[in-house]
Amino acid sequence: MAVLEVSNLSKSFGGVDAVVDVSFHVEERSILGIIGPNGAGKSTVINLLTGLYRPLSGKVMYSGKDITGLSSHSVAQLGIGRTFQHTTSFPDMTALESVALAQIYLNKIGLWETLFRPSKVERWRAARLDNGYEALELVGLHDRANVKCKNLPHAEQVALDIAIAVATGARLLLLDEPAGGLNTSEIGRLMDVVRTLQDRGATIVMIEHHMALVMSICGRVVVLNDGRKIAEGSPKEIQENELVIDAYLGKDADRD
Amino acid sequence: MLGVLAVLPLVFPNEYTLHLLILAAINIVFASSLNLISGYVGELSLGHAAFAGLGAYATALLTLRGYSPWLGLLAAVAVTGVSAYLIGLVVIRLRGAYFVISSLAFQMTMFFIASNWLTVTHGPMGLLGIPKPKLWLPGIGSIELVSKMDFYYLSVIVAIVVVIACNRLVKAPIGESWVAIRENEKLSAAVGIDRTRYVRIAFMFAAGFAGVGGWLLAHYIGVVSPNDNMSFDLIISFILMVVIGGRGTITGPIIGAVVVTVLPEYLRGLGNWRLTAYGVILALLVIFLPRGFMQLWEMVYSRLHPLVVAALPIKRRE
Repeated sequence: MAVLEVSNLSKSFGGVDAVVDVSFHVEERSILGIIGPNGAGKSTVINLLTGLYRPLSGKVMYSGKDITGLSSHSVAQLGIGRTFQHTTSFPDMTALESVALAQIYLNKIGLWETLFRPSKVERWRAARLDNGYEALELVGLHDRANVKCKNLPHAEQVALDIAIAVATGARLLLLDEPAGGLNTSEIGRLMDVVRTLQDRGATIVMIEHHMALVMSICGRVVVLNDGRKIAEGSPKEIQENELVIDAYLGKDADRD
Repeated sequence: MLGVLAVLPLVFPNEYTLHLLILAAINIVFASSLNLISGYVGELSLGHAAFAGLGAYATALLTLRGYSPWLGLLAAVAVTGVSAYLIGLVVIRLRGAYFVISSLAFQMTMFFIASNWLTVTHGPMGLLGIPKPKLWLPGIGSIELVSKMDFYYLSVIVAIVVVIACNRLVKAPIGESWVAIRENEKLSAAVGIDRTRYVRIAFMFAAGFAGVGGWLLAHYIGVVSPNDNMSFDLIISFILMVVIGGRGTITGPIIGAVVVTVLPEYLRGLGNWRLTAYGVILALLVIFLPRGFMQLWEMVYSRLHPLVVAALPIKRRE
């Protein structure tokens, strides 16, 4: 069953078409890769899905529910977690505090309890810290739980961003270039993390430039160029697709 | 702590010291509430004095018509809370400079209404003769809180209640959401935090508590006027209290409120140089302690703590 169905999505900025008529769908518990040259509109697609931008036209269905144009926080509350191309965090919080914070939208504490039942507030905080610790374990950051986010090196920052998205309880994870700036061994670990998440039942959409990563873990790949979808298929099909080769390597002048 | 506050007026029985202590307690209410929106959420509200004034006018208009000051307290909270909700429909959608400007617009509108709606507010002359609250105590009966001593205890109790409420708010998910929005709005939205909702809560609580402060001030001074209760000077001093005490902390605004209330009085010996000296001290504080007195405390603590730990017997040093 398709968890996410994107149909005819379009967006332009000041007359420049960033995304044109893009459609694709994501099966439950699968990993979809979105690739394409710089400026192809990959991040824009994710930003359209998560309410950072409002689509000009098109429709986004998540688990049978129309989520087109919902605000970021509502999309997150429905169970879609995301990371950003440029890693981002709550700089002065520790890793553990930020994954605990990621569950706060579930706010089980009303105003009455806030003001008159501090023990209940404390209990829920403890429960969130426990869940958060699990999310950190999942990405291998449990021994860094008490380090402030701003002091984490880039690779751990990427892992933390994934842990934050996981801690919200998201069933669908949108990862925007997680391998950017990572070295080979770090990419290996990232691959393990993504596979573990898939095993635990998550559906993943991943924007990536790192071809080896895409080809080895994505079940299907969507290729964007100039805001349009130019190909979709298994990694093998994509590697042999002429249009894709043209987009990446440029057209051979003689062939025209 | 409570004991110290309880015996303080017995140690300093003179009227002038008591007057300062009462003003300090009232200012703690104002500074702590402003700190919710401007320290924790990080949006500078210039409308705080307007809410303080609204609370003061609400209780003044009611009690001058013979209603109980306690009903006035309810009205002060209700009027400020509801107006914060309504103003918030516009203001809390904005951020940064736009938040500042729109809250200032509200402040100035309220100031001009209070100054010019003569039939109701008596304009710049203000409303005079606001009655004192009466308290019914078991065994003693009804007493009117007339003396400075009475008002000292009333203000301190109100200040403590407000500070405890602020503390509980910021320690709860509500306050964690405020900090998340301040530290990284994009990420906070990505983890499902609804900015509008939580900023509205902060704005309404800040306004409601400002209304409580306005209520105290109105009944203590006995006069409510635009210049004393909602002028721009008031906002400046509220902001000073929060900033020099330490934004986004519970203790900071308390220290700030006491300093801003008491410091100008201590400088009276300087005669004409008083305001100059006051300005220089504030400028130095902001330059060297941009995060306020709480920064000083952190610095001292981080130096002293290792020494204290080192001085302890080895067994306890784990």
